[in-house]
Amino acid sequence: MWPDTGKTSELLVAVKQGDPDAVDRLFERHRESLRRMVHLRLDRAISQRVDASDIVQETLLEASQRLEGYLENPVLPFHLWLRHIARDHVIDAHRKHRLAQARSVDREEPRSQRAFRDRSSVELLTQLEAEGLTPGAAAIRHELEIRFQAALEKLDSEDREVILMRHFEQLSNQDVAKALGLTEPAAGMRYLRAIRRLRALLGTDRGDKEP
Amino acid sequence: MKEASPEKARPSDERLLSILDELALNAQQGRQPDLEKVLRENPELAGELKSLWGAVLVTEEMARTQRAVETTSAPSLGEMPLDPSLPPSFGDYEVLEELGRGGVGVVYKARQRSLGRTVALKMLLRGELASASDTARFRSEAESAARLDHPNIVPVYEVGTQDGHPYFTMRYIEGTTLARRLASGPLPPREAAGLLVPVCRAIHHAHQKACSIAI
Repeated sequence: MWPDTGKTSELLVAVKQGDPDAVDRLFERHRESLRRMVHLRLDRAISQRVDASDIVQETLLEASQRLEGYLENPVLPFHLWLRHIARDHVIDAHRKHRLAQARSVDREEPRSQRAFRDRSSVELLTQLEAEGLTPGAAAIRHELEIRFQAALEKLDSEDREVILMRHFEQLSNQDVAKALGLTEPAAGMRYLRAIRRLRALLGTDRGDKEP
Repeated sequence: MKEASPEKARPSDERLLSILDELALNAQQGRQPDLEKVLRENPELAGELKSLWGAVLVTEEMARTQRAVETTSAPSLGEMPLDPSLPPSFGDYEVLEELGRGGVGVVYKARQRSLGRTVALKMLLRGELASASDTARFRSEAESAARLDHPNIVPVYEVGTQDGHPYFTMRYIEGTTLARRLASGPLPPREAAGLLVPVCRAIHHAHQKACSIAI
């Protein structure tokens, strides 16, 4: 989901050579990926008040101010550098809204539909695939989304982050390692740990209630 | 940067991770990963592999849905998100927009170039990733539907395969869906009963033809 890094490198060269057009194109081609990355990390309560596009705008503004410094010393690949800035802005947004959030009443857990309560999410996925294009499938998909969202929110932020990076942003293990400042084997192990915990949250609910 | 808390890395973890990566890569590149074979080759890891692969599949499915969501609101029942990555062209058909999707199938509004008409084009959601049983079921659905001829059943125009993807086309019907109709609340009883009459007629017709229909 992140733009091709080859083209980005060409644009970075053009920027260094003083092409003002290249700066715009460089930022524009990352805007949508950044918006999705930010959107994935906005708390449900916050996303009512803050628009992901606004955070992306702030991110790109800061990036343009810091671009010269980045070009002198590119510590991270460009897209990872942008996501790093975006991440700071997301944290900021959450900090600003923390008070309002604590008061908000819509933090309650989404409720499962009774018909699905005794089945694990993986079982539901299998059932979804068996349903074809029917209203039943839409109901199962909806249920699966609620469950997955709840499981994701229960994960530690470290675990959640690596799941979002690997599957939602489709970053490679190599990119994850760079972005998190870990070695590649350590990033791999963190991912494995996260998938294990996610599986536990998605899985064993046949018949039993949430802890 | 904080280092990961020291995990008790089991010797088998590395192997587990590399198998999962391989499976996921296969799936992302549109090849059906042969899970059964991998499980046979790694009996000592089979239990955990199978369980973790389930979590990966759920996550990938949710990520795919999420990528398709353009707005900030969660998709609601009966209003599935539109996929920005529409296949632009499919044989004789130019894909215009997504009309709906379920567990295995997706329906697009499409233009049939040779005849200059608008049709509803249904195909398998996962393309090459669809299992043999999905494909067989899809075919039999298309064939069953094609046998029906009733004013309240959408007629099938064509059943075929393009680049290995089975598909069929139906008449494109302007209008809404029942789910959308009901999104704002229940219908008055008389109106709801009225809606059911043509549905019953259509199902009666299908039963007489002794085949199942997907509605």
